[in-house]
Amino acid sequence: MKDVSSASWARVRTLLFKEWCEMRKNKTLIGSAIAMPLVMAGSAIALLLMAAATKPKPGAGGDSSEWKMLLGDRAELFSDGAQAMQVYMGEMGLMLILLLPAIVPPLLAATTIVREKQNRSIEALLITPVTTWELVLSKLMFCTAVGVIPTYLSVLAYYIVAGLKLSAFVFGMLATPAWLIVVVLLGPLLGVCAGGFAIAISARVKEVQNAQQLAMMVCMPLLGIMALQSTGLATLTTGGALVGAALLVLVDALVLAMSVSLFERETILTRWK
Amino acid sequence: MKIAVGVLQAFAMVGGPLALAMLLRKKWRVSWSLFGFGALAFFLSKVVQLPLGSWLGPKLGTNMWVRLPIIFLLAPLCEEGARWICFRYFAKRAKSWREGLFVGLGHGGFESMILGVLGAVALAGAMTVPESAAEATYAKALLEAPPLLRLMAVLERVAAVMLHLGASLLVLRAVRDKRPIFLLAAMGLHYLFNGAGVTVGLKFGPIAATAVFLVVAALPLAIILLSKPASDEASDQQAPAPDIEMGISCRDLTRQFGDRMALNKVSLDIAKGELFALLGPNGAGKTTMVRTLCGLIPPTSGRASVAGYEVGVDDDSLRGAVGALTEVPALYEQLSPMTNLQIFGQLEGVYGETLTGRIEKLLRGFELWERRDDPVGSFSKGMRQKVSIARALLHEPPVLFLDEPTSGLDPSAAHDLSKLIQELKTQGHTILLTTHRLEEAESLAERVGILKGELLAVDTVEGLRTRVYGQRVRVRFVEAPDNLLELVNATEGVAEASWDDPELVADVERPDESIPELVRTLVEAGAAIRSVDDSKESLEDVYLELIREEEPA
Repeated sequence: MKDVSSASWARVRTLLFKEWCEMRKNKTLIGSAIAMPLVMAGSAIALLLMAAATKPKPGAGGDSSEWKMLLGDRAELFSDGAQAMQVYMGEMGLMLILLLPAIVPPLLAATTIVREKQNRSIEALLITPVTTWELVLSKLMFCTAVGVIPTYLSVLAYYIVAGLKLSAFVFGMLATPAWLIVVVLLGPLLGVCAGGFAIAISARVKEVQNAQQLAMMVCMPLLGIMALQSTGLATLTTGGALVGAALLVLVDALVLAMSVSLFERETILTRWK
Repeated sequence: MKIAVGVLQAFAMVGGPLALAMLLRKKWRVSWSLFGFGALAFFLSKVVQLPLGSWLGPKLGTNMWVRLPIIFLLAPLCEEGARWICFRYFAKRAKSWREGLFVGLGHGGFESMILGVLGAVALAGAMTVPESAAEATYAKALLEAPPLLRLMAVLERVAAVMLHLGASLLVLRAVRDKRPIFLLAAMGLHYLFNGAGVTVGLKFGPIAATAVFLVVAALPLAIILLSKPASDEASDQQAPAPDIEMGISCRDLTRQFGDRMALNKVSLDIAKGELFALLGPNGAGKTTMVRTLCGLIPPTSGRASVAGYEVGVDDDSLRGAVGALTEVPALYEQLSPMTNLQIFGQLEGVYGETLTGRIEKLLRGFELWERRDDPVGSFSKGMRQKVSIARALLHEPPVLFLDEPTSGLDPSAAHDLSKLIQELKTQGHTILLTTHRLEEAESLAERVGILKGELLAVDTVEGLRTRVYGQRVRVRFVEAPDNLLELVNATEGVAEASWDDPELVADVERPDESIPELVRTLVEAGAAIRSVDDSKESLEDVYLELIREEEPA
């Protein structure tokens, strides 16, 4: 098996073009790729607007014991409970948008490979000089891009609304370097990880649904982080986000190697009916 | 001296294994993912080993002679177990010794690297090392130790990497040959490495311990070298080399799926520019043979070359030199033939105007130009087959595989496609055609092969006919002599004659001499001959006869 250093980028580009052509013709795929960001971004912005409408209660400070429990030491920074609520709900909204790169790439990756197996086009593809690296890499790049681009757009829309509706102080709490690292780095890295798992799984299963359900398990750690954040057990810091990104780079490399290794041409051709 | 030892130690613990892996990879062209599987095995083993060790440690008391054997048992159980899982479920490609070595290098290398990094971090005071992190404490102690001890530490790491390489090979052998004894041997030697090395070290000092480490680490490799190799690679080397001057050449090509033998020692040469038809019943191994020769599935044993490329050596380049029409059209049905051909052409390395020109020429030739922008899904099966053939021809490959091209087509479409194949033959392509349509094979192929797991026969249609039926002649009479059969059977060169009303059927040995002699004898005996005809059994008769011969009584 050749490795990524011998990948022909021209072939990767062609495969990306193929994926794009196929997606353009598939209304269901286009629909789900558009609908999901709309729902997620819509929900996040709705949360933000609800939080922006919160008025401070007289006498209720931001460092009350409940807020301290949910926001940790940061609770002391707020002058009133409304600010604390806006930051808390704003962060929940961001986490919601960040589910996109964890959900869309595995859904798409699982669909694209199993569909190729179902209509047997994978056989024609495997007879070309395309290497397994090129095949897996191009599928992963495409699926991650489809997950990440709407995420970036959603986050942009979210920050525009936040800038218009929230105070500069609350906005600053939501647009921290830690969150920017999460959006710009962790999102795509998580997409690669989830997509890679989906490819590895879909190379071995026969039904799109099976591949999608198994690949969605990858989202579980992210939901865990959401749970930790929402219960105040953990707070996102710049260092934590950077360490998380570094760890995800390692995990992604391992997942990519695993996907390539599990993508056995023989298994796909001989055990698929 | 201090600096030299320090550099050596850093190299052995951090850079050495990785540098070695890079060097070996360049030489062997093995995948980095196998190295990664070694690392994965390391992490998997630690996930079990560390919590289990922390839990077990306090429960074992302080008696060293009770404590050490049990603690030392953890590493072989967890590490060899993790390696077994990796080989068994993930690294299925790892079949040869060099790939096993690469997995071992990943495991041993990562362990050494982490040990080195942890030690450096602990030494720099950047991390508080908990007592349970034995490796970091150990590494820190070694980095602070005098030069001689550090040299011993380097050698211990070299021995550890060697042990992992050898143990990986033993576990690979256990998984591949289904012989658990090798797994037990790996665990046993790993246990011996940990136990004997430390025990000797405690009693006789670091130099003796290092000597023990090195000796024990060499044992797995010695076992591998001394045990009888049963690798695929070894059996491949025993198979005779294919003739790379041929368009297609196979020697003892075998492919087994579990207990089922799909191809059994097929040896065949197809000359450049020849059209060869492969016939056989369903499940005879025709598609398996095409897939093997396309480099899509590896042979279990035996060797083959296609267009000068040996199968299994550089399959990506091999696939660039062949065009294949699969049993189903295998196109992107929502896309137009134009887009389909653009994609496949570019994947085959044809771009720009050359590609556009070829697509136009092929689509015009196949009378599909007017429908170039319609989705392929709206085409008839015959039209889709034509697009598939165009796809196979885009990069002008020297060798073409046509797997049942006319299957499922109506007679008119099948006739058109046969004409097309005839044209391809005149263009100089080497073509391997598999088909159920015997008249197609008879009219197109220069030679045919009959496959039923084994290659039952290979020859021209005429040659096969002669082989099965001998040379047969049929004679019709206006008036036949009374003692006809007696007379004919006595004629020189006639093997056997019989009366098959209304004609005489005679099997002759050398037609050019025997038939004139037979006619002369009959005329001299007063026979009035109406016609003499070389018998032409159809290829279908020949095929059925050959297949029947192979069926169990």
